[in-house]
Amino acid sequence: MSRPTIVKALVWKEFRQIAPLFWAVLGLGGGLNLLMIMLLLLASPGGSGVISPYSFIVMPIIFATGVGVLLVSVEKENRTLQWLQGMPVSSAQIAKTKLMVAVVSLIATWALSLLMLWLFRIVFQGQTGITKPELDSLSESYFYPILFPTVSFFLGFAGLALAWRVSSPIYALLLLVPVTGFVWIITELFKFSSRPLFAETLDSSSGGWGISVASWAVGMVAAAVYGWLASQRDLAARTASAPWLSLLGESTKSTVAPPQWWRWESVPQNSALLWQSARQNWLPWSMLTIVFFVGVWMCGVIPQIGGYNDDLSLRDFDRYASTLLALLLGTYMGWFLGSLVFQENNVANRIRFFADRGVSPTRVWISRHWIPLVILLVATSWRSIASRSFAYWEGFDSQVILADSICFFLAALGIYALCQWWSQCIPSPLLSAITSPLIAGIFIAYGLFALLMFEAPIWLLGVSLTLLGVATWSQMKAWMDRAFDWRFFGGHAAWLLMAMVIPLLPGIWTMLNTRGMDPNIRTALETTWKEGSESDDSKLGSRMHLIQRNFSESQTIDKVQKRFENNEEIRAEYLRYLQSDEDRAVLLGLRSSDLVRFCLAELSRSQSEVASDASDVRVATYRSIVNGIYELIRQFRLTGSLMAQDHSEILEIALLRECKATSAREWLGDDLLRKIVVFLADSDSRDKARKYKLSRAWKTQAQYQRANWFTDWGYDFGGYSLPFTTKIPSFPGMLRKSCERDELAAKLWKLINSTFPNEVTALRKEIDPTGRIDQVSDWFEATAYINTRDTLYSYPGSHWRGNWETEAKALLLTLDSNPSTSNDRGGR
Amino acid sequence: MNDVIKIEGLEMRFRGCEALRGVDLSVQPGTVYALLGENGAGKTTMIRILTGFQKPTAGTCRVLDMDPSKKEDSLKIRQRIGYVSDSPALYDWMTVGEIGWFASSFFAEGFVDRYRASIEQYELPSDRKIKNLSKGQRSKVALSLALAHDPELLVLDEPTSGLDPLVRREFLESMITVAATGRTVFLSSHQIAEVERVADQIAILHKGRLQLVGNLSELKESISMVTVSLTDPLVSLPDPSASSKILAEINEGRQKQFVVQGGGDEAAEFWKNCTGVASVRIQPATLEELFVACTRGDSKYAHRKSESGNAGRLSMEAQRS
Repeated sequence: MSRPTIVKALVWKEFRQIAPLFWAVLGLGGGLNLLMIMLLLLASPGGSGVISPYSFIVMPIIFATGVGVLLVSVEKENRTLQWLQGMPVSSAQIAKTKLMVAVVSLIATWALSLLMLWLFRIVFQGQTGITKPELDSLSESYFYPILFPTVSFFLGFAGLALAWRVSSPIYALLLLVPVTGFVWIITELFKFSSRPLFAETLDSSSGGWGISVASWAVGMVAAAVYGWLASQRDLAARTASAPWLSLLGESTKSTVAPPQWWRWESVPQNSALLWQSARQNWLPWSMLTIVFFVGVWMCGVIPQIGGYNDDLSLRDFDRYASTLLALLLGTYMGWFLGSLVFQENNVANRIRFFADRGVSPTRVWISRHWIPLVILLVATSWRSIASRSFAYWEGFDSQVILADSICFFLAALGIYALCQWWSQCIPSPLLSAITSPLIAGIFIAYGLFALLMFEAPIWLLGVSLTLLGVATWSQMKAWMDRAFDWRFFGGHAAWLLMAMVIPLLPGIWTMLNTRGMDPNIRTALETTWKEGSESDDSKLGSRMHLIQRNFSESQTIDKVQKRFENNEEIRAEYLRYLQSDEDRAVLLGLRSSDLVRFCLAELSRSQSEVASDASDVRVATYRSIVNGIYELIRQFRLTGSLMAQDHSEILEIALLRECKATSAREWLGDDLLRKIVVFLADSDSRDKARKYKLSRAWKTQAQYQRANWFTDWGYDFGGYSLPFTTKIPSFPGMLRKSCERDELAAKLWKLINSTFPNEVTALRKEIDPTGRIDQVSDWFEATAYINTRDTLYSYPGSHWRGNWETEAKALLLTLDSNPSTSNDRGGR
Repeated sequence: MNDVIKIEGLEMRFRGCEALRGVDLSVQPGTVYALLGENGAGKTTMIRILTGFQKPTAGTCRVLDMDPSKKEDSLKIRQRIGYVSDSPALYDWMTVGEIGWFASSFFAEGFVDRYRASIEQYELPSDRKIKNLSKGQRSKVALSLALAHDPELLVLDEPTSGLDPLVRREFLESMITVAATGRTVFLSSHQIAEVERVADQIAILHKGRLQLVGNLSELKESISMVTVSLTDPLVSLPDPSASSKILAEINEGRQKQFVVQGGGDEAAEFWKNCTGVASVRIQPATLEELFVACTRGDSKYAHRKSESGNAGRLSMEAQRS
């Protein structure tokens, strides 16, 4: 051990003293940012600009808030400063070292925070450097980037000054908030009043930021100077009492007469505990209440200054800013009231007084919470009264004000519950008070995580916060006995775990109770998908899946026909493709819904023309259209999506209608008619195509969802975009969605495999065993009713197991029983 | 040789009380000087003034020929003295070794070696944090820190508080060794028996006034305890001759005990001849009896003493006589 220099030894000591705060702020701040980034990335996948630098500024700001107080007040309270004064080291040297360490550590915190931001951006966004919007905002004002460092240095110096001036660390910290608020208000008023001055000479934005920076810089210098003077006064030898005191006779009194209250009768224990709590904390409580009352009063008054006149009104400080400020004030109250609950008794082991006298921990616990809760209620009442009295709630009625008051109370109470728990967990009073805002931030982020990702009901968060209150109650005896062992911290950890798990329980319960798919159906779908994948044509399917709505009742054939007629050139072109064996494949590039509409329109028109005048040309055209549709359907069966399959079945129904027409044999000719009817009656081939399309839709969606778990909430099931009950990207939601998909696939699979003769019995058996579907029409059949009745037209398998399939088979039997003559085979 | 500590007319007033009321004191080099007094007597206030933590209301004070109330002098004084407060507050997050290394920066070379030897002597683990030490061990660390720079003057406020008897004995013996090397020890204590063993000079402080000051052995020789048994408790005894100074009177039923400085035999003989006196017994007074007499005895004598000047002057006169 070589002898260090004084500066080296002092600097080493100061850095060791602030190390817990330094690492706590960086650790908790980093954790908070990590949590928020994860949450935002999950909620907004691929979103740019997710990692905001503002959330990283929190760390140096919090550190600046605590560093001054930690460097000085803790030493004063532990009396180590007194020991240091006993050493041959000057007061200037002590104060200089503390100032220097505060500055250097603050710079280090800034550097590490920005480094963390840079690393997080690289890891989570693959982005280095500054983003364009940030660059743009920086170019708006050169002063903007130095505003926050200036504010942080102000906080650091003001914290040091208050710590030198005030004996208690908590009081110093408590005073720092109104002092900072005072400087902020002065800054804003100065900005406001000098707006006309710089508006003509400077860019208004730059000028405003410049004034802000200048104001905070002046505050920073003033705080540093005042802190220096306060330190020298504090470290100097105590001066004797003023000689004039002896004139008043005070100093000559060697004994003091017993005060009047000594003659009081003994008081009940509860009253004594409340009296002790009030007597001990009256100063910080009074300060908090005064700051809050004045702050809320200002929130009400300032927006009214000058009304809404452009020249005079503080438009930047409108009622929304006032509401925000009031909420911040409430948070401030909750923060300090919560931090003071246990830590004021922790100072110098005051709580041992109660422990040594066997006072019930429950009684002490209640007496610590009683008055702070009353203060919170009084603050809420003042908030409510102020809202009504100052009438800045333009357009808000009394119910809104009541709701606002309740929300305000619950928010302040939540922060209070967190901070009181944290203040018992951390034996160091100051460290717990400084880091409380970070803990509150982490809990808020976690609460959002539980709300969004696990669909937690918001009242469960209240239960969690209540559990933290129960936690401090359960650990009260250990805390009173100062038994800071593994049981104490383990107990708190267990309560914390419980508080964190409880909001997740409904989501976990949902996940555990979400039924999976029938394994047999899963295997069958997998097998079908594998067998058919060799002839897969995903290219076509992917182009087909864009359809939003299927053919519907509202879009009559006439309207569709009219649309095509409006552009005769295109219609003629498409018609040529339909009739041509070589060019027909071009039509497969169209959206299947458009193709169906086009085919139906052309079929309808051609049939009408034949019905009015069955000339050879018209019959030939009619036959070529029918044949073209038939060929299209065949190609659809071989390829395309589930939706394309359904659309092709609409064309099959249309062809069946044509085949059932009384003049069908005449217009179509026997060969074409028989070919089509045989094709339509071949339900095995159709079912095979359906099964493959269904399995592919199911498998593709499952694969896509697995690969893009949180990145895409579109639900592409074989070309269908289906509405699901889950609207937010939560864990149970994702699982529920998967199960809904599996359920849909399973039901459709059962429907295909049902042996029932018609869709009504199939529906009743496979889809709707409870009979909740009232009526089944020919048009909107079976699976149209799955999940919801509102979007009947956009569900897969709308025509599966429809009557038309039975009719096709019956028609084939009819044809077989009445074979045509050879003359009829070619028709006309 | 100049006095190591020289105090004249020292007064200290706080709001609501007078801690020191015109104290005069001088400490010779190479002595072990014990300041005795009950709680609240003003011992710690006096030590804080000596070490420059407090500025007195009135009076002068010089330590090692410097004025501790002056800022520049107070730093020099702290370089040359070793000070242990009544409840030393150390950086509890430092280890025993670290705090020695840290404190060595304030003093000349050799501090670390002496500190290491001291903690080895006290069997203190150098790698243990101070917060994990017992109260006695902390006191040993504080003493080691105060002694490690080989100070000319040791100022110790209740130094043996919290130490076990063995270490207390070792420590007090080491104070004699320190004094033997020409250094001065100024300590305040409640441990009268132990102070009696090591102190050369004592001062008894009571309610801000020095009641008794002097060389311990001479005081013990000159002060005797005279016990007078009365036939009637209401009998009042006249004061003896001027050569006998009654420091205190303790009444216990038919017995009256007098602490008499100088001429104890004459006083006993004088009371033996008074009416209503059954018997008179005389014995040498212990320091504890002196202390009790000075702090608990009849206040009329204390009042009388204060009227006649201050205790220091009184004791010097007694010594001369």
